[in-house]
Amino acid sequence: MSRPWCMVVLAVLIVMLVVALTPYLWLIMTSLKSRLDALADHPVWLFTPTFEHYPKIFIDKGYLPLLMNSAVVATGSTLISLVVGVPAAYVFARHDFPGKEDLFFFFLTTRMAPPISVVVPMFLMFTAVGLIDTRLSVILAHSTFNLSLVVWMMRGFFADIPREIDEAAQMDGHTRAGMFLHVLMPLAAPGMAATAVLCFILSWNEFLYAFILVAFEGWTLTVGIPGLVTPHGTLWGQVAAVAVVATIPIVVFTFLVQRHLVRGLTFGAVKG
Amino acid sequence: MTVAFRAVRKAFPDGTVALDGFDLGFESGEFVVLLGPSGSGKTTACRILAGLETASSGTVEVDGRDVTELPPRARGMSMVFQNYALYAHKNVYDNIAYPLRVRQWPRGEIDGRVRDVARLVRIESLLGRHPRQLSGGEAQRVAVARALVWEPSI
Repeated sequence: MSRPWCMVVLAVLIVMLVVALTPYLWLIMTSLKSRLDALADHPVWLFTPTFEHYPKIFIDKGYLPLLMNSAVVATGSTLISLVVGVPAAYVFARHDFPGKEDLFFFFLTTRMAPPISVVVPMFLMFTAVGLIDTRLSVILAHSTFNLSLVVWMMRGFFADIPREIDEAAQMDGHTRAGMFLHVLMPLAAPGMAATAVLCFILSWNEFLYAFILVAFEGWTLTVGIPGLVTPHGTLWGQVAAVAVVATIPIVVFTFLVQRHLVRGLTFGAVKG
Repeated sequence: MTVAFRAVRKAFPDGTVALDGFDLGFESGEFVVLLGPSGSGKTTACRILAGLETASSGTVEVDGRDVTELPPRARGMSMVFQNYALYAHKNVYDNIAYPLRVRQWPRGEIDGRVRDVARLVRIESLLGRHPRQLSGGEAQRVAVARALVWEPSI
């Protein structure tokens, strides 16, 4: 790459970085601003930070349980989707049966319907089985889209492992289950990490199902935020504080698995 | 130790008939080579013997015992694969030791046996490496070591 072209690319990247990060930095700053600074006519860049919003929203207003709900729901739906989806993906990758591609396409279509079109029937179904207003209902609802993501992504990762590895494992003395658990899953672990993080993020950020299927005690963090937009005015500092806390796990997870994420997402891209 | 293929036939779902009326017998101590043009069924015959494919009809016998329906792990055989099929996430030592670990040999015996067989194929210096750090010839020797380490009959 020639130098002038390098400079252009660098400039574009810097612009994109600034555009992408500024709202997030603004969010963090807003969470540390007093109400006056947050609502000022002109953007205030220099201010005395205050941490009052954090204890006010999480302790006084009792939003800490919401954080717990978000964590439970996201972890729950990720776990269910992995436990069911990874073996299913293995079967799609390694075995042939009539209607296989049709079934796979059916899995994918579950992600194509917008949630709003199914949330009312889902509400009725969960009410009928007495699961409404429980975290389990949200976990199951989130699993509907996470499961197909797991099957879709993991099929590719399993397919990338040469079949000879399966056979070598069987010659080494494994049963089929042993081969799957002890050989294939460790080899597919980077892909599973990437997929798990994506599932967690999708569930953590989800609003509609979490909003419709539970009342106040079961609220997740995302649902708690609109509750701060009151007729008396929006408490921007507290909204920002909740939002910042909501983004922390995602940022942490992404940093932890970013090596796997890059490898996992590009694993199938280049052969050999 | 006798191995016998009796009237083995293998037809694949797409219609290809790889073997038809295949009969072959050999004894312990023999060194058997199957030669033939590409597509003549050599690999299929090996895989049927190993248990990685099932014959459409006919039987495979080891010492007079019918092993046709047995899974690979119950046949007392090991195989070196064309592309070696080494476990990329394990180092050479663990690759060779793996069949012994799966069969749950005692730890002390595993170490001794792995080192013996590594000495046999002259890869003692490579035990700490990973497959991606090996040359083709070295990887092949690791695959052979892994196949020999538990002293299978075939």
